[in-house]
Amino acid sequence: MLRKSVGQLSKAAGRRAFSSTEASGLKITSLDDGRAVSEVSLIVKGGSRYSQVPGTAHLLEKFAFRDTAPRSALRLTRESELLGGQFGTQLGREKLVLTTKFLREDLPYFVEALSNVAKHTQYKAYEFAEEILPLAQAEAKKAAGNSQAVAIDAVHGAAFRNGLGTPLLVTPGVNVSLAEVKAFGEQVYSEGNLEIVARGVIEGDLKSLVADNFAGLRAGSVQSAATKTYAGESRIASASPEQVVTFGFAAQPTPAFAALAHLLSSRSVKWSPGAGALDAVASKHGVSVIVANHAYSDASLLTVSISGPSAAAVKSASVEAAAVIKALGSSVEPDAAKRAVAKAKFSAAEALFAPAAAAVDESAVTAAAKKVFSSKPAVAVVGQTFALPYADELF
Amino acid sequence: MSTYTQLEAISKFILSKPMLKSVFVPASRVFVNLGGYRKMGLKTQDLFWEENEVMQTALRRLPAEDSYKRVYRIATAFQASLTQQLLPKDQWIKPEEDTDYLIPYLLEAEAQIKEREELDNIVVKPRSL
Repeated sequence: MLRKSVGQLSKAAGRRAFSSTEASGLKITSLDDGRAVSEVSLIVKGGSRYSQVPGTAHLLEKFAFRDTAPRSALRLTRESELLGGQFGTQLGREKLVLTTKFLREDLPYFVEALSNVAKHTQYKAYEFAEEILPLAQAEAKKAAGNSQAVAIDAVHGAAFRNGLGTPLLVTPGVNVSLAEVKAFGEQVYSEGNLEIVARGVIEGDLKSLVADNFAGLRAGSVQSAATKTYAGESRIASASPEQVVTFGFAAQPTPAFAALAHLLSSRSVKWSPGAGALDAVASKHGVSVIVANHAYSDASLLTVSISGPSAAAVKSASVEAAAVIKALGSSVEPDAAKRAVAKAKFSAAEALFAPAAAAVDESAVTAAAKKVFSSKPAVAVVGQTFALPYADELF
Repeated sequence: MSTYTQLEAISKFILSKPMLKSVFVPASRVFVNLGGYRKMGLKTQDLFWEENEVMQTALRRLPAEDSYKRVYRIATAFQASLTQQLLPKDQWIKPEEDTDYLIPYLLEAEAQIKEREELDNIVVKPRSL
């Protein structure tokens, strides 16, 4: 009985739950879940990977929803408040996401607001000096105080160098001019570079609004050299009390690679120590282990961050974790592989707009573990660098 | 007091009517000549009243180069005033040098303040659902 219902469920999961179409050269993916609240995002291929000078993408992100020719930033904010809508931005290494959230009937207003950002942002000099630059610098300063974020940024730099390794945020000492931000914006907000993802909207309405508002975009798209991976090391002295050692394993973005994160750390129940290979190491040494898979279009980076207040504990935990990871390179327990596959399946199915993921089985995970964990990772160390281990002491 | 936006509209109107233009433009030349500030190295827009929000915003947004030149002109005029002298004739501001360098910033600052006031005092009708 149970088996049958599981079979029916997986059949339902195989069905496409969203639809995709195209208008004005933009790909539109939408899902109408019938809720009263709609969410429309403009996904721009314009993350830090594509910025020639580090920080350009971050400054461009801050220029979103600012003064445009048809509507000033103040007017947009006040009108959105009156309509009960919200807007926000999120910067990634590959994508810049502009999100609007609003009541269903306000779709035309917010599609127009998104198109104004793409087509009519004014890049005013005083706005740059008075608001954009201080805001971006404050964000960068805040991120610099977060050792975990610094380590993740540094391990990207060590593993990819250029492209995906470009710092995500503005970097102290690197000045980006307004002209550079404007040129980047004009390059990035172009026809082949934008995509729309929407939830809670009627597809036909959205399509015709996008066709009207986004017509006449510049043609073109940004390019970046194919990603190369390295096994570098980055050591950053920091006064923060948190000591962090991060390993970064770079590889092709395959579903089996995504499952490796679950092999290393797998916590399903709150307060449980977790069943992954590194969870036991974490509880033994009293440190925290965070495993994350950063998936990009042509590479993935599996990061393992070991952090804690004591440099000695973090060092001994890192040495042991490296040994555990190396051991996984030679053999993986069948039970652990099975668990990782189940977790990977769940997280793939949980994603709202994910395309149907290719099936992963235990043998694929074991093969990926063998390939990835027998290679040397990039290592980033943040904190008391004199007390934290060097890459050659670990791998 | 009239705003810079109103002044701009009035001057545009005058310049658009040939008859008004033929009266006001020569009169303005006489006015400027009698004012004598060009002879002390000042442009017309160096004389605008500074102690208000609009002007302070405009001055802050002025490019560094223009701002430096403005301060230099004012310092020169101050010196000329102290010594009770006019500048040598070759250092007078020529009519073509007396540009509207501050007006775009003033208009923008005024438009922003006006928009904020409008939005602060907006009356919203509840929409019928």
